[in-house]
Amino acid sequence: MLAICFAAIALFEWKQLHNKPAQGKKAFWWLFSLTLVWNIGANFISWWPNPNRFILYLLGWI
Amino acid sequence: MRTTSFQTFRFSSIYMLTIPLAFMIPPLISTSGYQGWIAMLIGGAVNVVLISCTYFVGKLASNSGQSWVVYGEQIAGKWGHRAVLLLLSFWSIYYVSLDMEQFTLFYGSIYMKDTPPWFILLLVGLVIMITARWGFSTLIYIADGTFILILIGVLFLLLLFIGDADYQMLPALLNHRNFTNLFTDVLSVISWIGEWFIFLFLLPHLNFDKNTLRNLLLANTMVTVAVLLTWLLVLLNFGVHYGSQVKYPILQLIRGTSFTGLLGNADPLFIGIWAISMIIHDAFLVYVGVSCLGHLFKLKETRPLISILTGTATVAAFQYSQNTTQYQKDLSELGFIAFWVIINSIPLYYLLLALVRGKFRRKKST
Repeated sequence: MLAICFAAIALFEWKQLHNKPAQGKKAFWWLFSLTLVWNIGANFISWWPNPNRFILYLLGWI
Repeated sequence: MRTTSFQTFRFSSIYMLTIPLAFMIPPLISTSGYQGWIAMLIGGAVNVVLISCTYFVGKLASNSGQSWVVYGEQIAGKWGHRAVLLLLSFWSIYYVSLDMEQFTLFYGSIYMKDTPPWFILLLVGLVIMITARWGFSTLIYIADGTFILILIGVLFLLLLFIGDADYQMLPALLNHRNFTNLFTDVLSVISWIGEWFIFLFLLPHLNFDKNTLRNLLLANTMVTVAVLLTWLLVLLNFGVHYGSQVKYPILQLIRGTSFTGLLGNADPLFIGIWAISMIIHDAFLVYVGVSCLGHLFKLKETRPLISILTGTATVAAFQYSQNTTQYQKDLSELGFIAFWVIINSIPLYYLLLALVRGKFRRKKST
């Protein structure tokens, strides 16, 4: 729900923009889609990794 | 934007003081006991090195008139710098998520016990997002005004706790000697108060000159002294064992003070003032993440990015809230501390690279 709420705000902000450069459009949609998929997974799937898990996978051996 | 002489000092003090003052002291007492002051002083001294590195790297960028996200490619190379910017985007959002969860745990457990954590996270996330949307200049001006409130609040807190402190514990600061954990404690202090590289993102709004170095060093002194004194007073009021167990010692001290009336019930006032500084702290982190990602993806319009990044931080904080035991345990892992020290040492890497690439050599006049 949190993920969807902020994604909706981001979409609204994007729609409000008057000048949308072509390269910026592609980059925005890629970033938006990736973060939306990730955040929905994080919001609803209990085993979805959080940032602490990534850091400890890389550096937990110390 | 309109700049004044000590603006960087005020902003950097607000930014650096807010989180350690609230959350650093119990872990420090837990691991180092009576010797936390040694780790604090050594950490403060290491910060002088990090600040100097930040200053020299920032001056190079300032002389070129570019922001650090642009100029950094000339030091670290195109792909090296882009990797660092991507890492900093991750780090900034990660930091915001940690702050949000810390605040939610604190506020939810004390004042809003029956409120679900997601609701508090949603409110905090929206406030951070709106504050970040106001822009960099507004953050600086808010910090200008908040600084005096924070300073008065901290002085007031210190005066409040002096009366009930047990000064007979003071000799233990010198007599108890156990340097086993000193190295990890210093690393822990640097992980809490060492991210001075973040002020590179003040460019090009604020120039890097000798006044900037003075301001950052003054801010380091103020942060080190303020946290040290607060640590000392928590120790003298609670002792080593209880001081490491109590989660929010400053709040307990405010509530347990022998003063009555307004002073004895002033905790919501202090928390309100502290929360303003926390919002400034996190809004600036969102600004940093947006600057990095905006440069990487050539996105000039940053408002949608602010929503995306704040949303990602909020969801990550929600993940932590689903297993707070694991979250608290992760914060004390050495790997976690090492990550922070690696990130905080970024100005050192850039300075070494700049030296190797001859960026500091004076050009011969022809």
